[in-house]
Parts: sequence; structure tokens; C-alpha cells
Amino acid sequence: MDISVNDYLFLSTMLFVVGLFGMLLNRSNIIYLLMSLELILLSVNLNFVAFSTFLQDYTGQIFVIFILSVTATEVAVGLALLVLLFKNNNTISPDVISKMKG
Amino acid sequence: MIVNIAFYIVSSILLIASIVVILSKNPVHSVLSLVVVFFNAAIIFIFLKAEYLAFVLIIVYVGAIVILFLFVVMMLDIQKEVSSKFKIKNIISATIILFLMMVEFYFILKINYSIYSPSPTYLISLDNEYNTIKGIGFLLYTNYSYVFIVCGIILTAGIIGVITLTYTKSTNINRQSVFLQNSRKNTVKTVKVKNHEGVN
Repeated sequence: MDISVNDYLFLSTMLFVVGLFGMLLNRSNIIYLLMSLELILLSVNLNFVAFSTFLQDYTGQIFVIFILSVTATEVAVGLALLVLLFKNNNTISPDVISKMKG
Repeated sequence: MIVNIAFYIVSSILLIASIVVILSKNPVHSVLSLVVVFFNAAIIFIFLKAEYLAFVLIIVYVGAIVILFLFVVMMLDIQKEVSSKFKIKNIISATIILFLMMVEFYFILKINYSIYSPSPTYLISLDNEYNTIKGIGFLLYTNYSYVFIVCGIILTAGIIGVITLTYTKSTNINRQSVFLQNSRKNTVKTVKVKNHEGVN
């Protein structure tokens, strides 16, 4: 009995759901939001690699490399914004980022 | 059979660690269980015969990104933030959306995807002649070279953005400004030195 592609898809779906749940649950803490985003993007990568192996095509793995670099940049910029937010407002709640509302 | 058991053990560890990531009260515990999540995802990539991406996942994610998270968590004193976690409003909305997503994903996952055969127009097959890193490298430098260049541009933009965001010029350090020093007109004058005479 071999592991089918549906098992990998189920795992990736569960990881996506956990990441989304964490994102909705920890809305008062940006660092948890970023970590949940990491989980979601990891599930997307898992999906790409699973279909890349089962369809015998390397294109999915190329896309994983692309997503990886975008994720690295996004996390670096997000953490820089987090440091700035903590320096200016002494809190990391995203509720204080509402000054542009007027 | 043993591969199946290993797959189920690894994926259950991955899911449990990801639940610990989002539910833990201490951010340091969350970051450390994120390391566990990425290690198990790397093992699953090895199950999928994508060794290069498994090692990249360990080196890039565990070696760089999670350490970045750990630095930020340790640098900022956010222990007082975690006392008022999990508002009841957030729990209710998250559960409703989670339920809806579960129903949608159930109908998507009912399709048996393994009946689809490999597409006949694939570029390079995953056979023994090409191992993973050779195939990815071949594709990355030929068919997808624009993607590679765009990756470089995105990373450069990220570096510039982060440096401009966090760079603060400190005012309590005395620095020598060479240009201002040399361009003072009243104290510095230019002398044309004659041969064998020197400057008087």
C-alpha cells in the first residue's frame, strides 16, 4: 500500500486550517500572525511538492523556491515593522495601527 | 508498510506542533515548536523525493527565519502582552470560519487525485538520470530564469526596505566628517608647491 496524493493533500489542508485558525485567534499579537502565515505558506509549499512528485514535473519545485524567497522577504519586512511598532507605541497589538483612518 | 507508519507518525507530530505554535502562551515555545514543524515538513519532503527542497527548508527556514523570530521575541519585552490572549469574540469568529473551511475542504478532498496520470507535456521527468538538484538547477537557469531574476530583485528590495525602516542615525557619537573638514574655506587654503622649495 503506497501513500497516495490524497494523504499529502489532507495533511496540507489540516496545516492550512490550523494556520488560518491561529491567524483568526491571535489577532492581538503580530508575531503570532506572522507565525501562522508561515504555517499557511508551508502548507502551500507541501501542496506544490506533492503535485510535483505525483505529476512528475519539476515546475512545482521551482515555484516552491520562488515562494520561499518571497516568504523570507515578507518575514524580514514584517519583523522590521514589528520592531518599529514596539519602539514607537510600546505595544505590538495591530489595533494601534489605525492612525491612517483619520 | 513501514513507510506508511513513518508518514503517519511524522504528519501527526507536524500537526500537533503546529497546534502548539498557535495555542502556546509563551512566544518562545511557539517559535521552538515552529522549528519542529519545519523539521517534520522537511522529512515529508524527503518522502516526496524532493531532497533539495528538504535541505533548503532546514537551512533557510530553521537556520534563518525562525532564528529571526527568536531574536525579535527575545529583543522585545512582550511578556505583558500575552496575559489578555484569546478574546471570546475572536474565538467565536474563528470557529465559524474554521467550520465553513472544513466543509469546503471536505468536498475538495473527496476527489481522488491519484487517478490523474502525469501530464504528457512535462518538461523533465523525475527519473534516475536527473536527480532533484540537477533537474531543478537545469530548469531554474533555462526555462525559469526570469523567475530566478525576479527572486533576486525581491530579495534586494527586502534588504533595502528593512535597512531603511530600522536604520536610526545616532546623535551621541562624535564622527569625523571628512568632506566638511576639507571644504572649509576660511581655515584651509590651497598652496601651489614649487619644485625643490617645499611649503613655507
